[in-house]
Amino acid sequence: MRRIGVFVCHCGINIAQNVDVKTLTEYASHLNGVVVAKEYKYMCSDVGATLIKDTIKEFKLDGIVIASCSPRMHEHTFRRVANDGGVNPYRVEISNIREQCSWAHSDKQKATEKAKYLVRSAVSKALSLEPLKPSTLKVIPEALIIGGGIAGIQASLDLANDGFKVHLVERDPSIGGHMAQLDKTFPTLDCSSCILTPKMMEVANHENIELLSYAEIVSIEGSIGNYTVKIRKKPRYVDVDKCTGCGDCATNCRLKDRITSEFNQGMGKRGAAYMPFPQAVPLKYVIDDKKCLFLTKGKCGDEPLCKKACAQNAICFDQKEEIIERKVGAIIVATGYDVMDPAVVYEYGYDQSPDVITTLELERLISSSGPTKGEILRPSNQQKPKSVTFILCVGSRDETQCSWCCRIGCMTALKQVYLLREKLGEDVEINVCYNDLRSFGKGYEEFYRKVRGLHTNMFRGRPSEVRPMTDHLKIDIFDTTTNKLFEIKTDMVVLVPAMMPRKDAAEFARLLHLTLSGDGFFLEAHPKLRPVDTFVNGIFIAGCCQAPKDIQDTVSQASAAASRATTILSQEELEIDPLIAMVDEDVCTGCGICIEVCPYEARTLNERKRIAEVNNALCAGCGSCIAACPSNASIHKNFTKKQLLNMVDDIM
Amino acid sequence: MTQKALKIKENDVVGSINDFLRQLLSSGKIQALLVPQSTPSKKVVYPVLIADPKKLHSDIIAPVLPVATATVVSKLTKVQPPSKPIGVVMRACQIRALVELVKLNQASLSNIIIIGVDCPGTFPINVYADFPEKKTPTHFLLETLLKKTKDADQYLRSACHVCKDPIPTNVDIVLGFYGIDLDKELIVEAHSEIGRELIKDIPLEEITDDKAREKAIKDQREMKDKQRAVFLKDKEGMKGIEKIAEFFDKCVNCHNCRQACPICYCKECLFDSAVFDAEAYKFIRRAENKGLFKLPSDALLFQLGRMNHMILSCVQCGLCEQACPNMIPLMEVFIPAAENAQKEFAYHPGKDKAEKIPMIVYREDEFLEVGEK
Repeated sequence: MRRIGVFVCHCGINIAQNVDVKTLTEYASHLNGVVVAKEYKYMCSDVGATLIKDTIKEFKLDGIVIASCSPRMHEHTFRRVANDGGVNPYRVEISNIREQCSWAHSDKQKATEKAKYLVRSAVSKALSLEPLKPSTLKVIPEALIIGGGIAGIQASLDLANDGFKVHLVERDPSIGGHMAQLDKTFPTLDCSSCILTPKMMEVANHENIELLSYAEIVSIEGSIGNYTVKIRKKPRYVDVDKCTGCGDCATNCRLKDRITSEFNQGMGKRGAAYMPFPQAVPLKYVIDDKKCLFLTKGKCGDEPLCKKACAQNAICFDQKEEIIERKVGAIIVATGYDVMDPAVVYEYGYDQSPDVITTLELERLISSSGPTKGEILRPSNQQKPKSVTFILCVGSRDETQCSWCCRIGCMTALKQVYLLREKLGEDVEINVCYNDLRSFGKGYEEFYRKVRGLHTNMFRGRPSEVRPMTDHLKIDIFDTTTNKLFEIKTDMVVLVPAMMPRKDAAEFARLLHLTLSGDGFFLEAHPKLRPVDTFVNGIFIAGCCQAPKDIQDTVSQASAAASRATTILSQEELEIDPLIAMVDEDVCTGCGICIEVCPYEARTLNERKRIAEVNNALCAGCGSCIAACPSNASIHKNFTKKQLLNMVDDIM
Repeated sequence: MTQKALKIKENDVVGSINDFLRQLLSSGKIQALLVPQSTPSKKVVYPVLIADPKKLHSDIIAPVLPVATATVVSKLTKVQPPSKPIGVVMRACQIRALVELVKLNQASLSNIIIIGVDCPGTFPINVYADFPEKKTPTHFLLETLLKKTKDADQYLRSACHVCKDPIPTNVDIVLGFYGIDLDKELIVEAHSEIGRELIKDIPLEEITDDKAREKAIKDQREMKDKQRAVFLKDKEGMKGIEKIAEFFDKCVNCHNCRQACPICYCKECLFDSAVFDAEAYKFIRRAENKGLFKLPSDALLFQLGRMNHMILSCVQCGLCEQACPNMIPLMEVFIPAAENAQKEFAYHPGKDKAEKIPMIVYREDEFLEVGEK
């Protein structure tokens, strides 16, 4: 005969005010199989835990039911308490009488009656719960970092310095990401390159980091502790072992200064053989196979000039793409963000006037390594502007584009105002059209005040239109602080565009089985308590792929993700939750439906036995296979049809 | 497709077909033939696997389908398919069922030569066994077919009466007699390379009228479509749990329907398992809750559960109805249910091996949640 103990929690007054806990406890004590029922104000407290453990010993319990909050909250706590008390942790059943009863109802008498049914049903389940034991899995102490922006760089360095082997995969020819394009960073105005480049160099030289630049993820298989990753290395057409980064290939390229530079946001030119930017890591040239004459047309004059110029003989046109495989225990996704194309907000004229630019474009103009060598010139006439106007929230906080705040726009604009004032002097007019100025970070508000003192005209409102005139731009704005309509005549307009999920975020999420939040960024497992975890164990997210954020927050998150990965990588073996699916071999017909519906690729067909099998490490216990199997051959441990029907029976 | 004519000798259609099948088997190109052949009592024909041509006395026209041929082919091929070709003679509905079983990994078409037969429909087993007319059911059918009368219709099973498509598809060879003068010849079509190879060395002749079969098939389809429309219209009122419960009133939970169904492929039916067993107090509590409780409790649950599991693959062969000891007219529910469910998923069971069963196809736009756009 089983010996079940029922523990009813008051949850302060959360449960007790709408459920008569005494009556419920008394009722529970008479249920079939129950030998004791107790109540306590906070069952999750130390005292509550001691009460449970003592009762287990006193009544020789072999299973327990906790009537309390949602199992999402404290199932783990009570499993541990049961284990400490000597009851198999998987013989704990939680009856959720808070979210599903006391919080949902106001009639105490009826709520108490309902709670009785819930507890009765939980006891029924507890009676048939099997004791389970977790299995173990060896951990590969290596990590994969996807994305070589500041998030990926920080996470790689943290893990590598902790002694773990890191494979950093970057899609572009160089790491650095968006941060490498910035001139100075708010609110301290440190030079972006000056703080980023040392980190990039450290990545390049760290003995624990394998830098796989110009490479993409093809597939990821396996599970926490043991992932197999296939990576496509795109051909650079330059032998990186021979290339010294001298630049002779780029200087001699027939297409030199004829191809739009991505790094300079389309404002500068490069050749087909190029280095993305002077501080690129790895400092190796690359040949653009979409533009290179030899690679696209098979002919580049008499011979490719780059090949002729290269003293090291590093140009290698017969390089092919290569698929390599790495095995890792944890993965950090740091794939960053895309800048919204401001042309979609057509009234701001981004594609109608060259003098309407974005903050990132201005960043390149400000930068001394940029296309104008740091001089602020109007793109239309290469003259110094007399007036510059910023428009904030272009596409951000806008239901028709991106409903979210980009979190960096206000500060970016303020920083650029500061830098422009520095570069252009006092006689240039600077206007800022903003919705709300959000200066929430440490030192941000102080920075804002400083900028306000720089003769900046602040208009609160969204301009209705940017109208390109013959030699200037006109903006109509209704300022909601003065309730006045202003017409601004200006030379340059700087748009602060929204930050969006990467174009291929959804596709990439499918590859990794990640979930997207409503806005299309990767979804964290819990917004507050598991901010860098995902719903896939062993995969973490950091930086702007999760949501827009500034460099400070990105770096914090990257370190957090590295730290979370360390909790896995530092273990030799991992326990695998035993609450997963299994196959009844006598009943399984091998039809394979479960294999097709499994989102975790945890099921395979054993051709010899003609039955489906479950890979315990991959199974997440989601239950899709259980629902799909017509034969009841797919069984979820401790959620069997019989157990669930028993619960239903007892709740009716 | 290659079309040839098989000459009917001495007015003996069945005998001439058997000569053809014997030649096929003797050729050495196939190692056995699965054919419908009369039991010694002549009461019924059963699928018989024939290895010795001398033992072949099949009656592929006999209008009776006692068991699902698709299930038999599943049994033959599931554990390990044959290493050399075997021929299986099947009706259209059974070929459709076989295609579904192949998708469900319950049968293999490796080394299986499908010989489809034009199907004029079948009679219930008991009607066939104790046929009320003077002639044998086969001869009766041949005569009604020849004279293009509808006399045979009165004996047809309801599923056959409204058959979706009696012309076999997904086959290697077809033995056809729609639109053919059965006094003279029978049509042999080779639909695949292997089919052509098999009939290559058998003496066959050119057909006399190649348009007649096409027209006869069209006529037959039109007639069935009309009958089907009437049948479906009649059943439109069959909606709601009360009507359904009443419909299954006579069900005694024997599960014969599942045994007969070619699609029900589970080794152990969920409803035969111990999942629904419960302690006495639970039964009593159920009775107390409503004052009374009908037993056995899971007959309707079984019917709806079975329907839920197989309806998307239902080929409407009607063998469930034939198997019902209490003559519940199951097709009245299963045909409309199959039509509607299959339409929802734009799914055509048995049509194409490559068409995935809806259960494993994810489409973002199907069955949206309430409030979803």
